[in-house]
Amino acid sequence: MRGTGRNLDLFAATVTPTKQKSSSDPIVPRLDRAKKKRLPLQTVIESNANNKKTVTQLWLAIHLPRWALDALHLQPSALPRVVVEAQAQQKIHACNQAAEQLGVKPYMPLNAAYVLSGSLQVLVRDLQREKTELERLAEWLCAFTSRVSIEPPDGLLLEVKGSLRLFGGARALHERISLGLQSRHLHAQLSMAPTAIAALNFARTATNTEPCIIGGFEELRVRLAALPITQLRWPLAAEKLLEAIGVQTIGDCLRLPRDGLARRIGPALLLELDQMTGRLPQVRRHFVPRERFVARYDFDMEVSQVDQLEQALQPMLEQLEQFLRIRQAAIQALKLTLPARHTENTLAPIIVRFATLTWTQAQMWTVLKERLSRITLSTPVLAVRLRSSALLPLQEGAHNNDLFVRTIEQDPQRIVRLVERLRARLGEYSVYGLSLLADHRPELAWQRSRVVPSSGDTKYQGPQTPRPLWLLSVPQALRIENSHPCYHGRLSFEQGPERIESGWWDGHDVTRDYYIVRSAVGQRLWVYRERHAPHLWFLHGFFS
Amino acid sequence: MSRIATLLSHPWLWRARSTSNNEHELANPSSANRSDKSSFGKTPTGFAQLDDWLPDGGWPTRGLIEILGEPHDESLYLLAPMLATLFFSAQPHNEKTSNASASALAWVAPPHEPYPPAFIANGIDIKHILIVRTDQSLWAMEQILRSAACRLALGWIDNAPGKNLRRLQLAAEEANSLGILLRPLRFGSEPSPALLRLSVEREDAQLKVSVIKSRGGRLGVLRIPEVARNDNARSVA
Repeated sequence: MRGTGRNLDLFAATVTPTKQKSSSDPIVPRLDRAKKKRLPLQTVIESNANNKKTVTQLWLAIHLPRWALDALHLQPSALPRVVVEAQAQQKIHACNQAAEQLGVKPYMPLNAAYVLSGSLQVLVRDLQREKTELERLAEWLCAFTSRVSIEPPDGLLLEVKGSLRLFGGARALHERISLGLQSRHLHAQLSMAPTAIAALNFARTATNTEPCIIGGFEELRVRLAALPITQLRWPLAAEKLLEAIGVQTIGDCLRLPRDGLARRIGPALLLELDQMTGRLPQVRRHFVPRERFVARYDFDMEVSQVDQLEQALQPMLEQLEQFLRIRQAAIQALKLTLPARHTENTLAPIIVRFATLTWTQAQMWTVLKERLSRITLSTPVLAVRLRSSALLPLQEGAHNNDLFVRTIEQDPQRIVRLVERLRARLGEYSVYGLSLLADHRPELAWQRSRVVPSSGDTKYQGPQTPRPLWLLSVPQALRIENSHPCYHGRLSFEQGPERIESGWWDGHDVTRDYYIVRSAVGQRLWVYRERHAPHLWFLHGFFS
Repeated sequence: MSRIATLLSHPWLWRARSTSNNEHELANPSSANRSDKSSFGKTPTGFAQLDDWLPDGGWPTRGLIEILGEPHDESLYLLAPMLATLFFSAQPHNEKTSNASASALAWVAPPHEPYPPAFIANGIDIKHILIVRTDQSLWAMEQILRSAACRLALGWIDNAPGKNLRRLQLAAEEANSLGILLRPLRFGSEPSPALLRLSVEREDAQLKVSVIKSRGGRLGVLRIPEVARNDNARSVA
């Protein structure tokens, strides 16, 4: 059943009917046999529906077992070489063939490896490098299909159903991709299966002797049934639990009743099982290659003057600006290549970097012009090639031409962004607005508002009597001299009293007489006198 | 014509002895894209004496102003009429004006809690007020000025090297926004890049306003009589 996957396949997803099961897998654990009698009707119907399932997708999985080492792109070496974990540098993550022959294995402590080989070359794992190299590999694989997805840290998935015809069938495509990987000096294991997760799992266990190509669901079911649970990269707890109940392969796992299995291993793993067997579809995020702007201008004849380059570059930059505007993006660098007739004479590429995200022709031109004025064309050039750095997204509205005029206008988004930025650095509660509360007690007549600009109702206009601009959060007790309150000298009364009595019902009882007073230096203060004994005086605010 | 207008409105362009507002209207009679006149027109101080003295017939509309005075003293008294015009709150008897779109008024590191009923009494709409409590007041001030999201930013900045004030001045000029620094009197002797520097002191029933620095204007001392302010409730609007 290998090949193009046009097979109609009988494949029950969870619990297969007894007849089929015994034909394909006669050894049924006793535990399972007991539970089979309670087969819910629902499941039988579902499995019948699955019988008509056709293969709509064919996934090619690439597993890179030595990716941590391969991604570093070192010269092949006959000496033993290991890569240790970036975090715990005592643990080996991957090793090359020479080290393997000496008996070094992944997950071995580094000290143990030193015992096996004294001349061990130790490298530290570079996760960022692995990620970018994997993306680069995905860019290459986009040549085979538009649906490439990355399975970090060491896997790639290609949906190749639509590409089989073009590349002459599954086997030819398989061969082509493995040759491509070999020419890149990568250790890779490939497999093809109708579901992505299954393909990935087969790739992890595949050997390179015989290509693992599974074209139909029947074959998938048989092959999956024999796949050990330990190959699945499941959480250790789940693995141990399944091992404890005698489940060793996926086949064992699928034979368990669904509800019990869901309870034991959790819905996430059950979903993975369903997606592996094709019972449920899986949504995958496809890899989108990074976009760049590339343009080329060929001269009619060889050019040796820099101004002629300028004439060619202007329209290219205009295109670039248009290109960036449509994508609401900006770039940070430009690369200019000037090919000559004889490649050995070609000038080194000119790389122009911008200080900020740049998207306008004028901005790019001013920088590029400066740069061009410094070069001399030692050899005539045939063409100009312009290549941008990867595109970076710009904030909304940044492309507006009338940016300058807009700064004066009120933009509701602008204040929101400002508040976000301030809060991000200064803390959530450091930035706030004000709103009024209808309460007679001065300290309770307002509150901080989270929303800025605050949208409190404006019907309540506050007290009709003068209020100070600055209110002390804790009233300050005033000294009494000759039964007269003092604050930096004797106070003279200007206005008052205003009696405020409120709040006896909620425990914040206020019975005060407020006065507006003027201090010896002429400052206007808001003070009050407690109406109950001992009639203390307090400073509560400053007028301004 | 329009080119001149663009040029004249450029924030980096400073004209000596600029009576800029009149020229703006001359250069840009339609001023269609700047219908909000107060952002380019003059902002009267509310004190006739001071208006006459200042080069633009009012407060500058962008850049940095520095007002030196004793803490929670009368510096804000000078600003109150301006705040009331810019952040005017629609009183019930007033029709709603286009000022609903007026952007925020930021208070950076004020010395105490500003008390909202006082704003309302002075005719300032508290909806627009944004309070920033921080010890990184210079940073916050620069962000606010640069973002141009606030019509006006008031900053209580005590100690700042001239270099940092220069940053604020540049930020304000570039983003076309206005910042007012309120600082203690003792900084009067230090140089400052602000467009306008005033010091405010009380002298009996008068305010002694000294113009320490005024780009394109005169220096001198003004005495502003303090009006009876018992009527400050609802009188300004």
